[in-house]
Amino acid sequence: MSVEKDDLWQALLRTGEAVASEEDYEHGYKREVRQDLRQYVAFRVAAESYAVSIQDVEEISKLFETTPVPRTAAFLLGIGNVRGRIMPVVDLAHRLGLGEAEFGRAARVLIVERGDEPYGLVVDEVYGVVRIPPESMEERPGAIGGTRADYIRALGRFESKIIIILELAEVLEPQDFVPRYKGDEGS
Amino acid sequence: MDANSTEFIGEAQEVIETFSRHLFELEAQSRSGATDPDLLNASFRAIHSLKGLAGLFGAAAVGDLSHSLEGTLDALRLGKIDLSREVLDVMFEAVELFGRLLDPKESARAAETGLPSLIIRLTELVDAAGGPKQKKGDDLAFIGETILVQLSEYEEHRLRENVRLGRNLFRIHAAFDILLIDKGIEALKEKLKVHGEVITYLPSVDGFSDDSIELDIIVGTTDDYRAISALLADDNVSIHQLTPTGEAAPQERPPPPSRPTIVEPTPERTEVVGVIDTDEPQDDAREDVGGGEVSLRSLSQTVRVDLRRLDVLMNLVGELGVVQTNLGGVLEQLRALEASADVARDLTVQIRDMTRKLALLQQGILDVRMVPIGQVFDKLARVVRKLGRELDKEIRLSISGEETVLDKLIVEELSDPLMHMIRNCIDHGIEPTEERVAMGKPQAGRVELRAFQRGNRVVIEVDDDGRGIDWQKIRDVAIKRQLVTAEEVAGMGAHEIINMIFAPGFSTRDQASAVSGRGVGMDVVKTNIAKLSGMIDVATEVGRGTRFSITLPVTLAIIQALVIQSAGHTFCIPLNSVLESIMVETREIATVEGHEVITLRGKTLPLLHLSRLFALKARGRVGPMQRVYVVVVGLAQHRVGLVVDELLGQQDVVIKPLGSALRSVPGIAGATELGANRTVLLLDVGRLVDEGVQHADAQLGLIRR
Repeated sequence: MSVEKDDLWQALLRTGEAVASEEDYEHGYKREVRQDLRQYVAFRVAAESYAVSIQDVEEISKLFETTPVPRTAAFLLGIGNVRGRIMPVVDLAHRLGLGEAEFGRAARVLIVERGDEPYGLVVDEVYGVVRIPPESMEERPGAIGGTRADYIRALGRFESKIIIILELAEVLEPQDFVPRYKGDEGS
Repeated sequence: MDANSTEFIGEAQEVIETFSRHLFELEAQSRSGATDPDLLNASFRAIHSLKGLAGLFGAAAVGDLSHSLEGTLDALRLGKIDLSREVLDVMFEAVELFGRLLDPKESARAAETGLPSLIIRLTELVDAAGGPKQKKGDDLAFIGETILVQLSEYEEHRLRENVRLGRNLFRIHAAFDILLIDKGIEALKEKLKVHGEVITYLPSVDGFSDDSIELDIIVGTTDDYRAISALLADDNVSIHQLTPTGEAAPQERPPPPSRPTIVEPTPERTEVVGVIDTDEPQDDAREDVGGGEVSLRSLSQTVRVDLRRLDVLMNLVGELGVVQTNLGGVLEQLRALEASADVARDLTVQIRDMTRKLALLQQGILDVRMVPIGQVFDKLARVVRKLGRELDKEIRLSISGEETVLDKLIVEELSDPLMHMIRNCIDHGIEPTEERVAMGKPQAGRVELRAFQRGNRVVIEVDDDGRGIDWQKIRDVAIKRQLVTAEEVAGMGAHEIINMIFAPGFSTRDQASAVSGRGVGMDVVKTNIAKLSGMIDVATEVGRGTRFSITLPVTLAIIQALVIQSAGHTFCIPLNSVLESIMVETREIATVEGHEVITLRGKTLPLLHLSRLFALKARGRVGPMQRVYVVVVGLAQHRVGLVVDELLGQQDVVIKPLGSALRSVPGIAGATELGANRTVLLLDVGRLVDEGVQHADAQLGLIRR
């Protein structure tokens, strides 16, 4: 877990917005620093590349044990416990309709935050932090239909690869976690 | 510092509650004819410090009211006025008004509307009594002028009371070593208090030497000279009996000099006018005479802590528990290494020590959250008193177990349900006086509030000797209100029908009275109790009375859980909703129309298979079993048997919420850690029982209990 964290930190250092270099001091900040570059954590789910905004990511962890919760949606692996914090852990491949994958050695849990609560997203591999300028972003193409489209906030292009930017609010919609239980009428 | 600060409100409330408690005791004592002067003094002191407190925080209204009340109490203390029912009424009203004055939302209105009139009434009580009722010295001349002039007004009043009661008066002359005088006086006083009242102690007129002080102690007692001499035989004292002048023998009662009323102990009636009387010894008359000094010190050595802060601490302790378990794992690894055997041994000792201290820490934090249930009982006692008056019913309330402690949160949540129950009990349960008399019952209705601890639960009972609940009447009303159909009712037992009083929208009164009967009462009670993971039960007998019992966990932050396993999955069940766990041979399980049941002590118990209920995928080897465990759980008035594979034991667990995404999973209440980072789900027993009951109802209309 610490390795990934270091990577993140390195990535932050590389951005140039937050950290000034020796060069900057020498040349009096002449170097143009792009303020509009957005940073994303890019990862792989099945054969597709996804990313979420770096602000949403709290931590990247190795897989940990989860406790299955009965009467919940199939995409929920269960609840996990990271340093005393209990969080739902989602099988992202399942959630995105990419089938159930066996998690390999590269699999990681992205711990993201929504509404002050942590959630775990299991992905097959974390690429790292990418910076995507707005001009490389596309609106969600209308041609992609179905429920999957709701999870897509935008499409980004990074080094000629297409990265799907996830709409976390949709992916983590609370109502989807607990299917309406059939014994639920009346109460 | 301002009058709305939580510090002031909290502390003032504490004082007022103490005062209210004193009032009730005084009322009870006045009924039996003998009030404890100590109690009056304590009340006086309480209000006196409230006045000081109000001054300190600039709470003018509270200050004014306590000032007037203090005047009344002083007059009572000095015997200028009697502790009549009217006086008690006004003082109880003052308690209510204090409550409103302290409520930031109510305060302004209360100060405007209620305050002036009450102050006038308090003042009138004192004015009506006029000045001191007796001239000094006349009948007390036998005490001796030298002593008499030194007596304060209060001491003189106590002396007079003792004379009036025909007690023997003794002057005990004692010499104390100047260095040990504190302890000496205390010891002597303790001894004398058991036998009578220490009215005063004065430096002896006989003078004193350099290294000793001589004191005269005046004692009033029913014992005679011989008994007192025997009592003090070991002490270096001389004893003189003070006999009233003339022929008046000590045994003879001088006529009560100026009392308009006479003690008449008729404990059946609340209307009896009490007279200040003494039975118990006087603690320390000197210290509260005058009462001009306002102490700036807080009354109690307490701090107020936000419950949420305690929750944080509690969580930390829970996490420490996990760390401790992990340390155990490290220890195991260390043990496996030969080279580190010594270190492993040391670590074992340290971990054991830590475990013990951790348990103490956890208990300590829990204890901090605990408050006596008496806080609620005091409020209820006021409700009873007020209701009895409004409905013109005589009520004798008896309270026991007020010292039983419960989590602060639970105590707070409990006051409303209990109030509903008390209201119902007085409004519906207790018959009007004439009806009671006609039935040969005591005129005054009896209501009992009891609290006691049973295992790790607290039981609260509300018991009355009223008319009881008629199940046939309940049945008819339930059908009329369309809560059930006549066919459904046919299959129900009496107990089950009576339980329908907890159904939403049920009320037996056709007209809602001002007090209760809006048909929300018992429904609200049930929901609130269930929310606290408690149970409510009702036992009733027509014509004899009704008893409601509420069973509650002692705390909610940390609970004792039964750890069970089903299909290889581990769950926790709150132990407070577990009634018993039994082992059942599979062949004992019968089916009624496809629904599994067992017979437990003659009653049919519907079974719920946890593995089926939760559609658990079997983990590990789970073969067909010859016997299963049935955990009998109950919430509110229902009972259901949960079928599980294994009982893994009991454990204290810290409950953690599941977050907004999983909050609404039916049947799951939360999660907890069971060491080694293992997360285990906590069952929502209430929900599961409801499901089980609905199931059973839908299929067979089974007996619920």
